[in-house]
Formats: sequence, C-alpha cells, structure tokens
Amino acid sequence: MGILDLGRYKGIVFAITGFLVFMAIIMAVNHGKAGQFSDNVAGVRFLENRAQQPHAVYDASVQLAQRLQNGEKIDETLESLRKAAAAFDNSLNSLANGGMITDSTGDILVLPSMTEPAAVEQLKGASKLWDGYKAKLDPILRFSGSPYVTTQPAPAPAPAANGKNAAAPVAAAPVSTVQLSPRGRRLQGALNDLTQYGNTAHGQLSTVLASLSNQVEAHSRKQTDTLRYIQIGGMVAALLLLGAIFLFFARNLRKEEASSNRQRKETQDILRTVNEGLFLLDKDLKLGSERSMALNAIFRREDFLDLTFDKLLKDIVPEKTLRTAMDYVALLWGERVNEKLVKTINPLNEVEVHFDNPAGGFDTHFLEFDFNRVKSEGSLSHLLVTVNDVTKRVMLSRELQESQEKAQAQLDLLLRILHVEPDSLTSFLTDADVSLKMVNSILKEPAREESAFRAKIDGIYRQVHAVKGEAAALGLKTVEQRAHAFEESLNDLKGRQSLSGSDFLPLVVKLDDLFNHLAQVREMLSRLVDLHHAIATKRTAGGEVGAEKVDQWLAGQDQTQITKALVAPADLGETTGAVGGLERTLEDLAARVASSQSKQVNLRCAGLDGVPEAYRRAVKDITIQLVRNAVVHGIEEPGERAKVNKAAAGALAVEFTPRGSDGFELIVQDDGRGLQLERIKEVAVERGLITPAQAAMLDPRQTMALIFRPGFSTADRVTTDAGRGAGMDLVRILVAELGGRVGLASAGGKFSKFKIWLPATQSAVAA
Amino acid sequence: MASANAKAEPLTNGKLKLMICDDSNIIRRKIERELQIERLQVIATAANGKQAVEAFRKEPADVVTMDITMPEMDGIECVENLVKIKPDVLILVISALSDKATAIEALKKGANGFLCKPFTDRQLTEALEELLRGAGNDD
Repeated sequence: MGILDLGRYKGIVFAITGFLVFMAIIMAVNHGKAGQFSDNVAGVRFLENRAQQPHAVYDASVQLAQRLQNGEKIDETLESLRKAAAAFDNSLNSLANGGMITDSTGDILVLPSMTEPAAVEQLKGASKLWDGYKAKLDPILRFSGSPYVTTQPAPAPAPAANGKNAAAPVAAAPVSTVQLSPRGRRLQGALNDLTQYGNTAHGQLSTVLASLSNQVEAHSRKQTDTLRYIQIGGMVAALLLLGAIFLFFARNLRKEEASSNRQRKETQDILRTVNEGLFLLDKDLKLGSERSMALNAIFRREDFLDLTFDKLLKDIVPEKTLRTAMDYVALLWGERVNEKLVKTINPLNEVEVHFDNPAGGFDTHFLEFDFNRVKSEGSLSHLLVTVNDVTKRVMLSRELQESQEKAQAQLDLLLRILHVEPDSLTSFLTDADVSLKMVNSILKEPAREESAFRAKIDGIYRQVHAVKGEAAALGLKTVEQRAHAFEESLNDLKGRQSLSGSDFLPLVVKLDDLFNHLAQVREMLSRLVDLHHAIATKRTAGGEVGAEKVDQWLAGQDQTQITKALVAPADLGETTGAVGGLERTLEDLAARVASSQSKQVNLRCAGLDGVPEAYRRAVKDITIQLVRNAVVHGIEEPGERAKVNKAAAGALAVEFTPRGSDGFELIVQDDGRGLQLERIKEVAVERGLITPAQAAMLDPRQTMALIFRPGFSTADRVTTDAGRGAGMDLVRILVAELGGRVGLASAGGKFSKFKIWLPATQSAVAA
Repeated sequence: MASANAKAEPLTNGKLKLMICDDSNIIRRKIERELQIERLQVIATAANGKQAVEAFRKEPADVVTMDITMPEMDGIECVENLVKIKPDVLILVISALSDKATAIEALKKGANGFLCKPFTDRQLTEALEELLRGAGNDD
C-alpha cells in the first residue's frame, strides 16, 4: 500500500487537513491584524506627542517676545523655537507623506489611517495653517546676531506697544542701558505678528493632531472589532466544520459498521449452514477462529479453541497416517510443491477415522480432507481445509465392490464346478463335511489347561488344512480362501502367550461361514445335476437343439469335458471314479500351482486307482501336500533349469504300488533342486526350532527330518500355495495315524523323493 | 537461483530441457513418445538415479520426470542430489501410488509434483503443463 493510498481513511484525512488549513488561515489573519496594534499604539502616542508641538512653537515665540521686551538674551530661546518649528514641520510632513512616522525606537511605521480621505483633508488644512505659520516664522528663524544696541546711559524709551496678549511690559530698569536695534525692532514686530497668528493657529494645529490621534485610535478600535469578529467567525466556522466532520464520519462509521455487520452475519450464516467442515490453518498449524458448524458433527467435538491440526487428528487416525499427513501439510506450506500436482498423494484424501463410542467400542467413519493454499498479498497466509464425512459414499462403494466380487466369485465357482469331475466334487464335499464336523466336535470338547487348548488348535488345524488343500487341488478358490482365513485365525491363536475358552469363539463364526459356503457349492452342484438330467432326458427323447445349446453354454470352450463330467456319475463305479478324480485333481493342482509360480511341470501318476478305500482320504491329503510342495519348493523356474541343462518342465511322479502282504508304497518324486540342507537349517534356526549350535551338529539325515517338525516352512511368505509350515507335519501325522512310515531321499540340484510305506489293510489283504 | 557450478547454456531454440529418469525403458520411451509440449525437449534419459545425477552434472535439465523405485540410487536420493546441483529444477515424480509416504518423502527432498502410474498421455501432458505453470506463478 503506497503512502498516498489512503483507502477508506481518505475522507477523514482530507477533512482534517482542510480543518487545519482553515485554522492556519484564521491564525495568520489574526497574527497580521494583531501586528498592527502596536503600530497603532505607537501612532497614537506619536500623534499625542506631536499635538504638543504647536504649543511648544507658540510658547517659544511668546517667550522670545518676552525676552526681547526685557532685553534679555534671546539666542537660546530662538534656538528652541527653531527646533520646535523644525520638529513640528517634520512631523507634519511625515504625516502628510502617507502617514510614515518614526517611533520612539527609531523604527519607521506607517499609519494607514493617515491616508484616509478625512485625515488627508485635515492634514491638508493643517499644512495650510502651518504654511501660514511658517511664513510668519521664517523671518524670525532667519534672525541671527543681537537685536540690541547699547546706549549708556540714555534712558530707554518705552518699547513699542505690546501685542494684546503679550506679557505685561515690564518697566525698564532704570539702569538699563540696552535698547533694541532696528533689526531687533523688526524682529519684535515679526514676533508680534507671529504671536498674534500663533495665538489662534497653534490651538487649531494641536486640535488637528489630536483629532488625527483620535482617528488612529478609532481606526485601531475598528481593527480590534474586526479582529474579534474574525476570531468569533473563525471559532464558529471551526466548530461548524468540526461538527460537520463529526456528523459525516459518524454517519459513515455507522454505515460501515452496518455493512460489516451484515457481511459478518452472512459469513456466519454460511458457516452455520454449509455441510462441509471448513477451517483455516495458520503456519503453526493452528485452527482459525472462523469455522463451519459442520465441523462439530464431523469431529464430534465442540471445542476447537487453540486446537492444532495434529491434536485434532491424533486420537482418531493411526500414528503413521498422522505423521504422513503432517508431512503433507508441511509440504503445502513450502514454496516448491505445486499444489495441484500433489492432490493425489494427499494421505487424508479418504481416511478411516475412529471415534470413541460412549456406549463402548468405537465408530468408524471415512473423512475426506482437501487442502487449498490461501494467498494474501502474494504470499501464503493460510491453508483452507475442507472436510467431508464420506462414510456413506465409501460404504456404498465397498458394498458395491463386495457384491461385485461376490457375484464374480459365484460365477467363478460355478464355472469351476463345471470343470471339476462331479465325483471329485462330491467326494470333496463329503470329506470336507466330515472334516468340518470334526472341527465342530473338537471345538465342543471341554478343555481347561493350556496344553489341551494347544492340542485343540493342532487338531482343528489339520482338518482345516486338509480342506484347504483339497479345495485348492480342485481349484475351488472361494472355499480355499475361507479355509485360509480360518488357518490365519488359528495361527493367531497359536502365537498367543496364553489361551482361554473364549479365544475360540471367533472360530465358530469362521466355521459357520465355511459350512454355509460348502452348502452353497452343494446346492449349485445339485442344480447342475438336475439340469443335466433334464437335458439328458430331453436328448434321449429327441435330441433337441435347444438342449445342446444349453449344454454348450454350460461347457464353455471345453464341451467334451463338461459332457463327460456330467455324464460320469451314472457310468463310473465309486472307487475308480474317486481315484480317477484324484489323478485329475493332482494334475489340476500341479498345473495351477506351477502357473502361479511361473513354473512348468509334467505330472505322471501311476497306480492311484489301486488305493484301497481305507487309505483313500489319507493318500489324497498326502499326495496333494507333496505335489504342492514339489512344485513350490522342488522344481525350479525354467530359466534356472536351463542353466543346469534340465528340461524347462519339471518331471513329477506319483506312484502307488501294492506290495502284497508288505502293504503299500507311495512314492512322490521330482527332478528339482532337491532339499537345500543349509537353507533348512537357517529356517529352523529362524523359526526357533533349533539353536545355531545345534544346527552345526546336525548330519544331513537329521537336517532333512527338520522339515517334518511343526511350524517349519521355507517359503518366505505365507500364501495359499505354501508357507504355512504345517504341510510336512501333516504328512507325518497322517502316515503315523495309519501306522505307516515316511522315507526321504534327496540329492542337491537333482531330485527329492518321498517314499511312504503304509501297512496292509483288512480289505486290501482280502483283495 | 541456480548454483554457479550448474549453469549450462540454454537450448538455442529457446526450449526447456527435459530429463527422463525411470528404470523401465518402456516408461522412458512412453514419456518421450507422448510428450506433446512444444516448450520441452528431451536432452537425456537415465535408467537409475546414479546415471541421472551424472547426466545432470554434465548438463542440468530444467525439468525432470523421476521414478522412485530404481536400482543403484532411488528417486528420493536422486531428487536430493539434483536439487543440490540446481535448486530451481522442476521435478515431477512419476510412480505407482502404493505408498503415499514414499512419494511425500520425495517431495520433501525438493520434488515439485506427483503423477501416478499408470498414466495416460493426456495426464502426463497436463501434469507437465501444470508443473511449468506453477513455476511461472512462483516467480
């Protein structure tokens, strides 16, 4: 703002300046007028003084005449007459000359009143009188020398008759011998003439001067009056001006106040009504005093006084979000960052917040913060923060996404079911049902001690893991995900220091979820079977084209497979059907896991149709586990295999061989990298299964045995394919439960071979 | 503003110099190909932070697009170095929006804006134009 840019104060500055100028003019006039007073006083004094001068001239002339009469010396008297006459002459000239006079200090003053017509007239009259006076004075003043002659002792005759007013002639001293010379007599005559004239004239002259003095005085009085009028006028004008200024500004002030009140009210109305939370943040990240009422509802608080932004967020967002948010806001305060180009990384763009609920627990909301720089006079003064509660929007979009996912999952499930051997599926559903019922009964078992709780977890774990493995093998992703989630909860329980009965409650919900989901799968399967029967019936009745179309639709691209699958139940026996299902299941599993791991694998199965019913379930669980492990851990990626001159696709073999009375042999072998003993040791140490010292002591056999220990897994991350560390543990337990044995052989870089011996069964022996 | 050791000659055609820094040559080529801003001319590309700093020392660019996750030297460290060499350089971080905190870290080191991968040619053009406009406003 420039110094002359007065803005709203322009009016008052001009008014006050005008007032001061007016006062200054009044003072100046006052001062000028007051200065004339002393001149006037000096003038009056001058004139009063000069009014005596004609008397002095006259007196001197009378005295001179006296002296001449008495024959006394006249020089001094003559001299004083001269002086008096000169002085008066001088004074009169001064006055006539525009009233220029010399005051007692010698300064020259001008009496303006002497130039007034009346005064000029009077002065003219006086000059005329004085001129007459001077004419008569002239011969006297020019006289010099002695007016007397000495004639001793002749008596002097009486001098010439005196003037009327002349002093009474004094009788000449009888001894006087002094007589007037002829010049003296002429002087005496002139004197007589003068005194006669002067007798009237001096009085008139005095009167003129006195009158002039009066005029000056009157003039002075007039000036005093003028001055008084000016002062009074000035004061009145000043008061009026002040009053006007006051009125003007009072009115303006009221107007401005009214307008600012209106603006304030409008702002307040806006802030009270607007749905967004609005506030300003200053450089110290303090909230401004003006803010919208919506904030109270959004943040569930009334008190925002002296609140800082971090305090506002501290209790409702996680520590890390808060830190990131504060960093982000600090960035906006900096000069470098382009505001529009950082909106996408606003960490409070859609932030989840938690408010304590007075009734217990907390409420989750989603808030959306937007920050805008506020510039004032070119520099950043505030950040305008806009907050919206977007909970509904977020929830709706999540619901939408969930329902989309659910629909997609059902569709996937349906398509998957269409691709699965109905027998495999039925068998899976039956096994899973059994497993889950077992989980249910384990959950119901009474337990008090820590060890009993742990045993329960392990028991449940084995069942759920088996369900997950089979679901994965069949590609039933939705089932696999639920079982995986169940496992996660179990893992969480395992990791706890101490357990109680109530810790198992959430498992019931998970179990219920799995049950329901499996029921859905069963429902879907039964509908498909119904559909198939309907189509089959129609086809045998006349081979309707429409039915084929439905068939094709159901089959997708793989029409033969679906036809085969749907027809299968009627044609295949229980045992062979189930085992044929296992082979396919294992092939599917190997292919799927391989593709998720970017690997290639060729699975060869042999003898699986000879698995006795008693071992069917166990063999299935074991082979699923070992096949998965072989693809995940054993077989290398094609690139790696190429380096060691192996075929891109790994070879994996599953063989089941009856050994007569010696029972059965199950072999699962791959040509992968073999067991990496050092890595196994490292992992065992990491998992806390053994100490580093123990690791150093282990021979290869003991090292291999580590993989059967509970909690061992070499996969770095837990995925649905591997990494839980329960797999080999499960194999060992399953085999042990059947009274069998597990053997393991491996050569680094070449192969791994699992050899499982199972005892002969009643039925097997019988067969 | 620019430090004395980093004052290279402007391009004779009056254009601003652009350096592209990304470890993916697909992205590098995409940016080069889709650049539709007359005022910018690509003078260098770099596959990691180290290369970028070396190229920048030889001839500092006016504008830089910067990936975050790169081998040798990541984008955050690279931004820090470039700003040290030429404080008024304009840097647009182009990265996936997996971790906002990392992006904010790069901005704290002196980058000016952020563009999220994947991006369309239009988003790229708009972001670079905004970057140049923002610089004009600050002057």
